[in-house]
Amino acid sequence: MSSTQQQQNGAAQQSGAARASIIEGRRLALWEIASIVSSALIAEWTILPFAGQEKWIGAIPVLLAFTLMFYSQRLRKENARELGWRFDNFLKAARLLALPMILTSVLLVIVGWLTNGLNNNLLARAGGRSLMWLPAWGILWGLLQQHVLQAFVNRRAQVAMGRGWPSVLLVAAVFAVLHFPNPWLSLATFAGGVIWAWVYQRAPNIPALALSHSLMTLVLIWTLPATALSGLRVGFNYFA
Amino acid sequence: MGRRTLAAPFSCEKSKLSQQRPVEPFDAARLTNFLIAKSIAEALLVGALAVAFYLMAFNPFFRGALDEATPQHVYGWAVDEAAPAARVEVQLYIDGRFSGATTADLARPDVLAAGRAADELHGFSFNTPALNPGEHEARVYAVYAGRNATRRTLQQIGYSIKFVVAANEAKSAPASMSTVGAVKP
Repeated sequence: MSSTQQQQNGAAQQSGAARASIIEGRRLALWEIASIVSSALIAEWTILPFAGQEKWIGAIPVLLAFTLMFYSQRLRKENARELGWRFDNFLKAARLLALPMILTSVLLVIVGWLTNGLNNNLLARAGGRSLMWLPAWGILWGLLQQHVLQAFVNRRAQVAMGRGWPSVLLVAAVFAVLHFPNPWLSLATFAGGVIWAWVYQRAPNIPALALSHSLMTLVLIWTLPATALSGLRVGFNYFA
Repeated sequence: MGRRTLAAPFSCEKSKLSQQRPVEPFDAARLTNFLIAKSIAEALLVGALAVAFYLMAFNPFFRGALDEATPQHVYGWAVDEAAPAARVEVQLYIDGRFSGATTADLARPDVLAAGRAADELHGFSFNTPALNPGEHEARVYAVYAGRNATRRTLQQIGYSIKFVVAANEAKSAPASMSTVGAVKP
């Protein structure tokens, strides 16, 4: 075999190995997403009906999910800045978020006005809890959810499907599935998921997304009828 | 032999995946092992929850039999083998409708003789309610209150028995028979 042929064969082998590595990497990323989703679904759907009062058992799949997430991020050497824990692009992310948030809020106010949702008791909308919890709890909850959704699911979706609509829609679908079977909340989270995933791919900034998440939750609770949101309950708890 | 490594996630601020280059190789084998371990742990958790739930909601130690069902009486016996001295609460359902409840505490020397209970007081007897002529089916269920009595479940004792009410044996069923005590949908 001539040296040219050997070089060509070697290059082909390297190219094949690289391609196999990329395909394997994509599958692994999809597996990571599926694993996180399965943990959340176990916590949402099996703990309440099976464990009854022993709700602490729900912490086990959640803990496993967070361990996977942090372990994967450590193995992949992702730093906080890459994940979106930064402020240098906060204004860019806020600018990208502003228009969709304003349009969605106007739409929700119109829907609320048409369905008399705006006149409902605010406490009832928060599932009977005091509204004082919403700003503080909402931002913390938003940071947590956006970290999982964007810094993990979105990034793995980009590994598997590339940057763009397929990965944005996958992130939104995952977010909506985790809010089943609450129909309006699933719809709202799918819409929110599309916006936040799209913004994250252009300006990865978790604090800005968490702030948006918290504000949109407040608008949702304030505008839609309490009966439509079912106290923001999801999973098996929706039927409880 | 070294571990396999895969391309790390790409910086999302660059354009297309195909145009991106891996930032850092990472240990895919470790991640795969962790994913497998996590899947096994979660499968075991869900399995353990299912078994624990079954044991809390149902009592696998109920034994008994529905010996006879006639237009006049329904007889049988029921024992909780986990607590052989305890009395079991039983409910009678005719054609799927609740017809009565009692405690299995009548003398059944044969149950004691068979070694199924600590004493002979495990028999039950129901007076068959007024039924229309025709074939009917009797089923008896043991009641289990579960831990903290947060759930009450019924477990069938033995097999169902079909019996026929002749026209001359039929007593007019009260109008409320179909609704009082029946399980609401």
